[in-house]
Amino acid sequence: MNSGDDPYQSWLKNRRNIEISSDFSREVMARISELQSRDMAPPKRDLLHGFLEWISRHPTVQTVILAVGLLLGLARLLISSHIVLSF
Amino acid sequence: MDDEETIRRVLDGQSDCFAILVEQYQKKVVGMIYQMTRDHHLSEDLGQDVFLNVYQNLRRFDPAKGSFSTWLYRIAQNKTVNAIKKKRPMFLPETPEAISPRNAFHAVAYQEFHDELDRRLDQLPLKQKIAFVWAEIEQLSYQEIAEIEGVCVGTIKSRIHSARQQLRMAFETKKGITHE
Repeated sequence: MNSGDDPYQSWLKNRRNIEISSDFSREVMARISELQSRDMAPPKRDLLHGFLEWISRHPTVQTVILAVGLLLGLARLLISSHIVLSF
Repeated sequence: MDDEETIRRVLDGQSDCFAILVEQYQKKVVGMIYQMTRDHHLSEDLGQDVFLNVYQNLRRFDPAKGSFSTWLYRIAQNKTVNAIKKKRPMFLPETPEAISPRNAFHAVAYQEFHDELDRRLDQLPLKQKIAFVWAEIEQLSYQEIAEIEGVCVGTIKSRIHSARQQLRMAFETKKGITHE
């Protein structure tokens, strides 16, 4: 049975066959321009936000930063304890 | 240019690039809303709202969590479900589309059969209807539907199977015309 004779297939075909107004995307873009003119557009990513977003997607970098932070903290602790001991 | 590159450009200030995404996905988005509501004007209005919402929240899209299309379809689906819940039971089938069978008898019989399928589809539980519309009418893969719904593929298969069983009953009711 080909799809032209199969009532179920012809029903699916009819359901799929919808027209979208040719202005649809233009209307969406017009509404976006309107939003922008009202200053409601999404804020551009600033440098810090972009960096944080990037970091959040890279767990290895997070680990490295954490490790460096810990090492620096430890170094600072050692230096201060050395100063105390030298007194 | 892939979706992620387009999104990057939009976020970097080239908002005109958003039209590329609208043109690429408008048919599926408006189509799905129409299948769920059977209201042409409402589906275009809701479709516009979906794209506007996507634009305003574009910064929140995380490619690591899934594709842009999945994210977009999920927003479209949520908006549609909300609209249906708000306005139920206002959605009735519009004037049936024209078909061109071989003769007038077939035209009537086909139309009756199509109406029966429309009626049964509208009566399906919402989750089954959504899964059926995405799979059978909008032709998304089970995997994509599962990602949109946030459930496993098996659940989607089961919903579609149940929906098909309900629709198959329309065949039983109108069996005569399928054997003409």
